[in-house]
Amino acid sequence: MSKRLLILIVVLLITVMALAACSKATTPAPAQEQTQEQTTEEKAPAGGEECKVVFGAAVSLTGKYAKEGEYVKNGYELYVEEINKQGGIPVGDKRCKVELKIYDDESNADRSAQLVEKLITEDKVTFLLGPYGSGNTFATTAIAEKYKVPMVEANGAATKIFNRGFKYSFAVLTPAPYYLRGIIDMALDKDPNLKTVAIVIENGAFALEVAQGAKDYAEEKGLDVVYFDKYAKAAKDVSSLITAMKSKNPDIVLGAGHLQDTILVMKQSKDLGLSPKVFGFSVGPTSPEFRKALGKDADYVVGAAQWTPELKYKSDDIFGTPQHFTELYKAKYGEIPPYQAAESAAALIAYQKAIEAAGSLDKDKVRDALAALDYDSFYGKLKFNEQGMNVYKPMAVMQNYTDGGLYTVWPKEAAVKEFLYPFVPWDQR
Amino acid sequence: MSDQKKAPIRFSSLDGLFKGRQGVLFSIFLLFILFLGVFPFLPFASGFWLNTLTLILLLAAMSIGWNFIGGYTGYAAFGNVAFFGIGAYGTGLSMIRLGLSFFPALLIGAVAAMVFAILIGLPILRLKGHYFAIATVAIATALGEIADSWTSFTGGAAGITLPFFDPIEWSGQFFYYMAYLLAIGGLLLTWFILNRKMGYSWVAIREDEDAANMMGINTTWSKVMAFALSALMAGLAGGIYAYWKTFVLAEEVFKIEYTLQMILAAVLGGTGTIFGPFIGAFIYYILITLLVFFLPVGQLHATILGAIIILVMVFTPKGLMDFISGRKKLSINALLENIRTYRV
Repeated sequence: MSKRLLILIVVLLITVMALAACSKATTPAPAQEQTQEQTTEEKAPAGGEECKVVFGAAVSLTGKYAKEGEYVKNGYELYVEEINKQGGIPVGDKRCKVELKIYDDESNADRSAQLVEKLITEDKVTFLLGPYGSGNTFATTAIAEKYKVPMVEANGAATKIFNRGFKYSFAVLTPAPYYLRGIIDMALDKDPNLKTVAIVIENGAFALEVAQGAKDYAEEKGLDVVYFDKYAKAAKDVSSLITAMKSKNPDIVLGAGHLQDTILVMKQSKDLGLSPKVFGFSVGPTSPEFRKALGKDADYVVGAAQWTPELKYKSDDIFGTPQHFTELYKAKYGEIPPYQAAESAAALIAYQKAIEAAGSLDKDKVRDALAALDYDSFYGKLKFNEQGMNVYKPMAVMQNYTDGGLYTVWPKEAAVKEFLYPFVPWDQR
Repeated sequence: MSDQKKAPIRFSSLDGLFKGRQGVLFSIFLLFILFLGVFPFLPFASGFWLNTLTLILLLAAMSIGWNFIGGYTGYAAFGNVAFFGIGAYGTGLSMIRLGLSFFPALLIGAVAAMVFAILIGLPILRLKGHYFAIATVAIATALGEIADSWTSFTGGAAGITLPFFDPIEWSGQFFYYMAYLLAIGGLLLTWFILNRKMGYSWVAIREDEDAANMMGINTTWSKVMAFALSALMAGLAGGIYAYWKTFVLAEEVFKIEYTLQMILAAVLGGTGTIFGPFIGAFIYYILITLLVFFLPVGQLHATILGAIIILVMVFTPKGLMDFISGRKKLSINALLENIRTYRV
């Protein structure tokens, strides 16, 4: 008997001790893999003068958002590396080294919430950065609010995150309802005689917000929304919607969705001969996969972009211009930076400017400074409305050109090429 | 198998409860429950551990519920997340659309889950084996799709947002105790039922349904009750979860992972035992958490977790309760015997 009993007691003891030990997890073995402590030098003297600021984030490094999560992490890390080269963030009259603490949330909202609790209550990070995706951001902003720790997020565009009266959450990216505004503005700028808009929507939280925002804005601009309907997530056939749209003969067709369904809408539009003057989408046309899947049929199609490497923004932040950011990113990761990386780095720039303005690392002071922030970064304007959303940065528009390239065509002052208009009908190609 | 039948009798009278080996085990378990009861007041009870334990206790509660139908009655229910989702939506919609406060809304969510279980249980509990399993998976998937598309009622893909627990500073403790009470309630419910005719008829159905029927047991009634009670547990867990997370989204509350987790917890601990699912939930979740935080393996932790589960399945298909309760001696021989006995 005693042996089995012993085993049981050991099991229970381990359980209890695991609970106890983990709760003091700041002391035992920090998980090397997940903790991205930048370089070794700043770990050096733990003297009283040493000042550091620790940013914590739960990012999807595995699971369905693993790729996007990696971009987010890259953006955060690139900023930290650059700022530490300059000695850190200026706080008052000294500079504070920056550290990142990143965990993998496995693209799971439960895990994301659990990890943010850990970052706040056990790792005691100074400030929080956001995860990837609206779902995880929704779950984690509530926790930041509970503990009154600021969170500047860069990858959750749904407005419902910010409709709850939170004081400590900020987003540097343009929110979902503003996604298609750039395309509408650009189309009307080119041809003020455009009258009608048709909108097709993927049945998902993000796309629904994009579509509603586009509809409201189009009506505000005097356009007539003649078609507004949704298709199922991961739909394999949208021909009934295309046929219905074609019967309305719209000037502009807008799609709110993601890459795969955007490609589907284009393919079936060609099959059914739907040729509006402008084809614009929230997500898809700016990705190389879009051109790969459609070939010449991708010509003229425009897509919204939070940020592009070609934009002609100028700033006095550590990156200066989108081009310089692109160079640094390319040197470190060997590829053109996707917008997720840029907006993630921009979240840290928002923090830096707020910390500089506050002259302190105090959470409430930095929060107030964030709320008052108005700064032109390499990513565009960083300024938050009362809800914490950045509604001041315009969406860029990229167009698939007839030469096979993908160019920024809007906003006008930052564009590299002229907007090709109109869309050449399928039967005249 | 005969051990299994004895299981419900073990704790049947309070006199024997604290005597002998079982008594020691029971005392330790009781201490652990008490420890959990005071946990939020301990100095090292950080928000992180409250959050983690709340997840574990919710999982334990659901797993205890699954054990009614899957463990005792022996029906492979693979769609219990449907009840979790109904509980979450029922609670959320009652709060938003009817303006109810949390507790009445939770009651509505749980009752809705139970009623739904009874309605679908009557037809599908006639199916057996994998037919039943497939039917339950299909129903859970269909419900998720309905919740996702029925925009006017459920809010569709945009989901519904719930108000916060007020005061927000105490929400961690509040939801911890909700989950704690639910899990303890589940244990008491199991213990209560097992000493009633209902409990015996469940086990009888698992061992031989035809024989049970011939002995005069109303098997349909018993099965439907097992299903409904497992729905009750999952529905309550779903309601608590919804208010805790402050939002309900079809893809979150109808995800098949929850079903898998509750089955895994029950199987790890031991199906058809009172404490198995509870202990299994702790072991499963703590294992994950330890892997994520303390093993420097980066992205490999899911693989390692999978390997551990396979090992447990191979060597102790009846769950760890087999060894904990002393039904079997933990030895190489016992492990090998397990493989021989349960191989397909």
